[in-house]
This record gives sequence, structure tokens and C-alpha cells, in this order.
Amino acid sequence: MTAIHRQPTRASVSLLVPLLAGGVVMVVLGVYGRAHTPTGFAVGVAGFSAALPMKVWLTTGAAALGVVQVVSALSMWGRLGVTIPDGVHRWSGRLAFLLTVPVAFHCLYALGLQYDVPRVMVHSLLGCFFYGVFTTKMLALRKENAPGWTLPVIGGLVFTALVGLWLTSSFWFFTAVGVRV
Amino acid sequence: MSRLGPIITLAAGAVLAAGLGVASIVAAPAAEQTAATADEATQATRTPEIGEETAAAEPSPSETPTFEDPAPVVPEKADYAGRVQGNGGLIAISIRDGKAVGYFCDGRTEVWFKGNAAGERLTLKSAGKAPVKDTVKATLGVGETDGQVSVGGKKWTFVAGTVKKPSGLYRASAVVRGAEIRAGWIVVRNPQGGYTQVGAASQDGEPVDVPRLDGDDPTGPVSVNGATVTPEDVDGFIEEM
Repeated sequence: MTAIHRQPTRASVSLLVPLLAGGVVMVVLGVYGRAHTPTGFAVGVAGFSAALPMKVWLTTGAAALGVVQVVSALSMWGRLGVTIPDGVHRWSGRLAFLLTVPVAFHCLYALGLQYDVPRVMVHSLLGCFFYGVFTTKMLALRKENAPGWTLPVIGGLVFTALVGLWLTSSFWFFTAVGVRV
Repeated sequence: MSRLGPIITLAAGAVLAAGLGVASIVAAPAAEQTAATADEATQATRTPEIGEETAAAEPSPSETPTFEDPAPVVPEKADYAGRVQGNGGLIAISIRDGKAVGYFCDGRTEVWFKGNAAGERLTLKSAGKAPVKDTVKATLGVGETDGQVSVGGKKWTFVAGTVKKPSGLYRASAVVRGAEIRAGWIVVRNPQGGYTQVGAASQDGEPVDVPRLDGDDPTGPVSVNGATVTPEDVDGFIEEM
């Protein structure tokens, strides 16, 4: 997951630091999730009946903003024929990221990284991957000499990971437990 | 927009996570706090709100740093029962003073589990002598517990709500004329009325027909293979497990 491929062009070298940083984030989160003893308890966001519904809805909010991200990015790249202000992409992304933080915090602090059930394993690994690739995306934004595919590919990975996280958590909760606050 | 925008975004996330960390350590159950530490934690959690638009994600904390639901303290006494998904069986888990017992039964297979209820998460292991341990892993929530039950190498998920008598877990154990009779039942009251129940009984380890419990009086005597036994509720049998 953290392998850095030899880049074929000079411009790709500028991605080295973002990729390395993303790799470090991903590994650190995974090692932390595995190494520390889960507390079974974490402070989160008020207004929900329990920790799980809180996480389910914040994740759903982040996933919805993720869709906004894809649409506004398409517009930014001229694929929609409609101009969406840059601020929409920027702020929906920031908000989505911040919505995920209390969720990931509860996951890692209270529950830890686990792999005894496939769903949980996929979710754990995707979660670490998500923050790694998000870090890479953030750091790659200002690399103006990076290859043209950089942001679509990394942004696509971020969105894919987020959808995977939503499917393995919120969607599971809605189908297995029910829709509740 | 500044060149540092993305860095600030990442930093805001890190600060928010750190604030939650501090608040969680401060608000950890059974942790002794001074007022000063609690104030610091509240400040730390508020910081990202000021820097970034996290108002939607972070409602203002009240006077205490615990602005989520209170610490999920393990109940001294709780009874859960529910359906095992994709299996058709029922599962019941009961907690009494730090001890947890569980029972899975689908009419053919039955497994008793036991373990400690020390935290929000329970791990129960099969009580028998089987070489491969069957397990129940559950997370206690508000009004329900959910998790996985693993029996004979197969796994299912379940969600079990809290139940009140006469719903719950029952067990009968007796030696009648030299034969060891054992039986277990899970009784769940249907929302529309009546009871769903599943049970299994054995005599000297061999399965025998299990009688139905009277839903309105589940601890009334029943006949297992001709022997009269009295089912006990969790309070009656938990000491024996």
C-alpha cells in the first residue's frame, strides 16, 4: 500500500513527498489502531442516541459531500459545461474531511483496527488508506508541475475510499440495524 | 486562497482529533479530574471551531467536556435478545454484576457462552469442553447490543434489543432418576402479541424434544422426556455457570 513506484517523468518526482507523507499517515494510523488498547469509549458529537448512530450519520454526511466533490471537480475540469464556483469544491471538501474526523477518532481510539470479520477488516484498512490518500491529495494540490492526472486520480481514490467506508459502515448499519438517530 | 490552504485543512483535522483525544482522556470513565483540566479540554475542543467552519460537526460543548452520550457504563443488570441474521436462530445475552452469559439456539444447535462484562465490548466463549471455542463478540449500545456469533466455524451477525420478563433467557438443569437433563430457551415477546421462542433440551448429552415454555409463566414446570424440570431465569442460574 505504501510502495512508491519509480516515476517515469521528471514532473512525477514532485509527488514523492506527498506520496511518502500519505504512506506515513496510513501506516501510523494502522499501527496506532492495532498497538494501543481500545478504550471502548470516546468523546464525540452530541445529539445522537449513541456512538454508532453518530458515526453513521457523520459518515453519510461526508459521503454526500463527497458526491458534491466529484460533481464540482468535473465542473472545474470543464466536463459539465456548468461552472460551479471553486469555493464549493474547497469548502465541501473541508467540511467532509472535518465530518470524518470525529468518526475516525472514535474508530481508532475506542475500537482500534480489527480484522476478525471481513467487513470490519475492509473498513479498518480503507480508513487508514483514506487518510493517507487524503494527505497525499492535500499536499499534491500545490505541486503545479505534477502530472495532469495527479488530482483526478488521487481525488478519485479519496472518493472511492470514502464510498467504501460508507458502504462498510453506514450502509451496513442501515441494513443490519435500521435507520435511526 | 492561500498556498497554505490544504495544509491548514490537514492541521484543522489534526487539531480536532487532538481535541477529541484530550476530551476523551479527561472524560474517560472513572478518571478523576480537576476543574482546571476539564476547562483546558473544553478549550482544546473548541479551537478548531474558531479556526474552521466546524460548527456543523461540532455543536458547542456544554459545561462538561462530555458532549456525546455519557460514558457507556456497563449495566449491572441487562437482558438482550434478538434474531441471528441469516440463520433463523435467536441469541440472548444477559449481564449481572460484571458477568455475562449468552445462549444461541436455532432449534438444532445450542451453545451456552459466558464471559466478563467489563467494558462496552463483550467477548463470550462457549461454556462447554469443545476443542474449538464458539464465541460471541458484542458491543453494548443504548437499548441494544450488536455483534457476531461464531458457532462451529460459521459466523453470523446479530442485533439484540433489551428485553423484559417474560422475554429473556431460561435454563433448566436437573438430575432426574440418574439422568442429567439440561435445557435452554430464549423467549421473545412479539410486538403484535404472543411469543417467539426457541429452545433445546438434552438428556445425558443426547438431544431430546424440548417442551414449549408458557410465555406468560416461563418458569413454570415443564416435562422434558418424561421428567419434570423447572426452568430458571438468569438470576436463578447465573451463579451455576
